[in-house]
Amino acid sequence: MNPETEAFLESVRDAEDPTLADEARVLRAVQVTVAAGAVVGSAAATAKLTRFGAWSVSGGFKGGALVGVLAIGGLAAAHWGAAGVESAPTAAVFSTSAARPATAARPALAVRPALAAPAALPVPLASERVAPPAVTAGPALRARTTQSVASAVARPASAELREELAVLARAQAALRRGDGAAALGALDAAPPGQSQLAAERATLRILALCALGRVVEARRVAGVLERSEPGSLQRDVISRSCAGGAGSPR
Amino acid sequence: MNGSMVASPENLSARVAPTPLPSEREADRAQGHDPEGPLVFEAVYAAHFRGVWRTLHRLGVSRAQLDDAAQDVFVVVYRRLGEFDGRSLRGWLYAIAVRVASDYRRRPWYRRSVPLTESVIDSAPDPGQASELGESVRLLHELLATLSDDQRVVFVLGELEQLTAPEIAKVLELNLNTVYSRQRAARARFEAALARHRGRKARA
Repeated sequence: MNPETEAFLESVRDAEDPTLADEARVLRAVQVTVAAGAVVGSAAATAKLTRFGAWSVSGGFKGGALVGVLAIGGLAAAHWGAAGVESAPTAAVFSTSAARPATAARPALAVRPALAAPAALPVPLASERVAPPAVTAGPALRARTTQSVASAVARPASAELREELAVLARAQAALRRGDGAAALGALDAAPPGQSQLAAERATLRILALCALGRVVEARRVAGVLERSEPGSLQRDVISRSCAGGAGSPR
Repeated sequence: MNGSMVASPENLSARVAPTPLPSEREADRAQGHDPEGPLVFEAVYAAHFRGVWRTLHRLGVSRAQLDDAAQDVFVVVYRRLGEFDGRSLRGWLYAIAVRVASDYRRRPWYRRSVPLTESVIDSAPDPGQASELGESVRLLHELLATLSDDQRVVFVLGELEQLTAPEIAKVLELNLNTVYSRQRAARARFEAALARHRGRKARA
């Protein structure tokens, strides 16, 4: 190329670098996306447990068929190790090995403080650690556990359950976009009443509130959830969110 | 764009795994990745976010969609990092970015001019420099828009991100001669467009 063109290219080559705010904003959106995928994965696991009894699923739920039916990318094999926005602004860390077994831990590396400080949502991913209830399987139950998880969750769910899962999916999609307000809107628009997935709904609400920086409210919801469902499968997720330490002791 | 480049980003890792060139290894090391060591998402993100962001934008992702596209790239990276074979991290990331950009360009709502990059203006040290830089960036995007998709991607990767032709061939899964051919055509068209622009400016 001629020198003039070379000079022009040289002048613009690094001209469009993103700002630190861009970098932090996208990182946060990635975190929310990954974490929200896990919440829905856990929600599906809960639905499965609720509807089909206590299943012994080796290795935990893997973000499988139900998530697929909802066209939600479950990021099951992941784990966030993140500190809260308020408590440790520079410690947004994911010690993660995506798609690797949870036991194959890698050394974690802290994100640069400038990235982590404003917006790092401490959202964990716990589906690997969502332990299904211990089952002492009798013959009948053993027979059921031989069915695949996929076939189990592919059974027709009740209209209520489908609707609830749709709500969760909408909220999750909004969180994936980093849109906490839309996530809250989706959750608020859901019909009131007894929910089979109340814990998952509350967890998404907590994550949405965290995304909006409404930490006090997030903690309040977490406290209510912890009192109403002390053994919630979402406990670990919440404990690593901005509401961690308030209503969800580990 | 080449048909082979429009596959879903979900299926990338198995497709981008040729042996790295020495320059790739050096580039990866220089950008925080030791090919012999474990990959940590944060390190990958910190080292490569800027390049991915720039590349997406220069491949035609509008500023309004840039956050979403960059997010898509790094979600794929996050999900697939454990499967990455450690050969050429930079090439792997650019391959993902190219496919994501291609996907965004094909979306129905993507039919708009590329707006001036606000980040350039925001980050420039003074208004005069911002204006000049902004004008150059606007011109760059106008010139890139004169290229075909195939030409544009080899031009962006080669002339702006400074990948070698063999690296581009691997990223795009193209024959090396095809890359050279597209580079020649892209350079010629880019230079001609730049010359036309300068001619108009001189007459004005």
